[in-house]
Amino acid sequence: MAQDQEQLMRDAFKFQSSLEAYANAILHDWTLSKDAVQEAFIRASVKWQEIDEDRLFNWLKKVTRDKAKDLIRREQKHSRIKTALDDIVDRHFDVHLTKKLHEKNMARTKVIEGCMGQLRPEALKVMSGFYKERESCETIADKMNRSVNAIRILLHRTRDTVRKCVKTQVALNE
Amino acid sequence: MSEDLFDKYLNNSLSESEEQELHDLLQDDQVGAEFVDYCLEMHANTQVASDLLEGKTSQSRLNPKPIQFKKYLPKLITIAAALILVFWISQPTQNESQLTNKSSSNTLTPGMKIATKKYAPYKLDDGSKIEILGDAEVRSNKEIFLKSGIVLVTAQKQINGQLKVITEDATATVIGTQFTVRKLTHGTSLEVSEGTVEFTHKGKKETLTMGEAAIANSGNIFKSKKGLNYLRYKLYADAIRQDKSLKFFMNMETENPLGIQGFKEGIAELVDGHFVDGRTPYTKALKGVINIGNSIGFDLKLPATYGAWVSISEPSPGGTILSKGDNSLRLQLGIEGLHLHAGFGRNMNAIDGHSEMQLNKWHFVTFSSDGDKARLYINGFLDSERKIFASRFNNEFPIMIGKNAQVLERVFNGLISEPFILQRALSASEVRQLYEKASIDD
Repeated sequence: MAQDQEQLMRDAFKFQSSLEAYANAILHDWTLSKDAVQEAFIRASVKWQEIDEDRLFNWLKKVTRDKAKDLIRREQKHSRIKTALDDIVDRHFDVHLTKKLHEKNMARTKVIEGCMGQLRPEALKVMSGFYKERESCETIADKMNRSVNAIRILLHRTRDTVRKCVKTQVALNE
Repeated sequence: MSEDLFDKYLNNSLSESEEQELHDLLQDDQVGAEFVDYCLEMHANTQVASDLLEGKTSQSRLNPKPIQFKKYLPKLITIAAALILVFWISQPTQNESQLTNKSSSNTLTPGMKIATKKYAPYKLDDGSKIEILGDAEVRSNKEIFLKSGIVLVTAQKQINGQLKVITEDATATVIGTQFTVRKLTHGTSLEVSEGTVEFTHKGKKETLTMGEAAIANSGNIFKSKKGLNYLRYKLYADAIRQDKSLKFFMNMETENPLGIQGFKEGIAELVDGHFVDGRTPYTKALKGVINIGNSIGFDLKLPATYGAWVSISEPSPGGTILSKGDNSLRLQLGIEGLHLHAGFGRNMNAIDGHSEMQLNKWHFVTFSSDGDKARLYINGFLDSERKIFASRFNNEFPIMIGKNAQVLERVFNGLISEPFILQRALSASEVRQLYEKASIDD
């Protein structure tokens, strides 16, 4: 069981990005995903004495999942909650989202920053608009005064460029 | 190809056929691993893109600001205050509360609307401290309307009228100084920490003093000196006891842990082990085995719902929670000893849970079947579902809690409390409501 609340919460916050990615895969909503993880942290701060530090990541995963499902219910997004696809996604996250994968992702995130730092602001805007704000290519095109096709191409190229850059950098680091 | 589908899944834009296609692809465990990794990678891409646009550095993202618990902990008087602490100090840059008309001094003024997912402290003109987590609206200097969530009030002496916290179904009026109002899914709760508060709901009125709690729901105010935890246990137990389809409920209350409602013929007998403190201060938990016996009255059939509160001490493969032999009814742990498993009759009517339960934590486990589909729930959430081929499967074995009379080695290694059987299938929302009524954490 945890001995130090401050240390436990420090450790918990380190998992924030992977937990948010998990919540986002359930909720498909950037803001709600952050809320679900925040609620998991709140629960951890209250229950800290009952949490085994070695199982902290799994504990947070479970609470994040529960909170995300709870938020779906509250937001009345019932349509997807019980589909077979959601179940299987849930199962894969349960099995594959390990501490090891989280650590790999943290290392990769540093590389991503280096790669993305070289992109033009408009490429960043398209990425953020599409994945974070859930805007359609049409909406982004409208906002940026570009054609829809240009936005689709830019999105595709940005994704591709970043992935290639990350792959190369990770290979070099290894 | 699969990455296009992953992308569409993340953006919630899969067509029905694509959903099926992705579902089929994900049957492959390797693809599942790639999918999870892709989700993490795209999330990181998006976060970095967003941070770069906002001018944030990796340092601020990867190393959250230190949390200064020690400096603040002595000042905490309620859990609510602890929650404020964690999130105000640790995450100042994310999800700022969405205030409209927010004044610089955090003073609540009429017309303000607050929608916050973390505790936020405010003051009223008279100096009263109002802490809010949820959606609220300040209707006047003396009225706060709570749409959802929690409001904790530390009131100053009231002059020129009395401060009220109003929900859609109840009103708490300040006479004393400190209280907490929560908008529950079904009803509103009030806990008084200091002084006196008047609580009204649909024409009914109760005055609560220090240490008392009440829940207003469906035209009634349930009040107790034993606090909110007791009320939540009692509302849960009453919901089961008053269900017309009640077949069996063991209340496990402190004074009479062997007391059962339902089966008229059954006499609960502790055949092994003992009772220990339960999941609430008002209930005991079984660490051992109870035999209820067998009779014609125990002829079980579907539709049915059965469940219990359990805390697993050690993984116990097949550890039985509630059973009537192996081929009538069994609610137990799966073969790894941490997942739920339930069965009604032969194995073709069995169902395995997906989630691993944590050791030494209370879980509300429920099996529900309408005769067509079987569903397992953990803490009110659907954990697993499958079609079954049900009929009636009675046998000569006794109903037991903590053991299976037909397969004796299936012993539960942990605590069991408040098991029940209803002769109808509870819907997902009913299971969730039961959990919410019983839960003392939320």
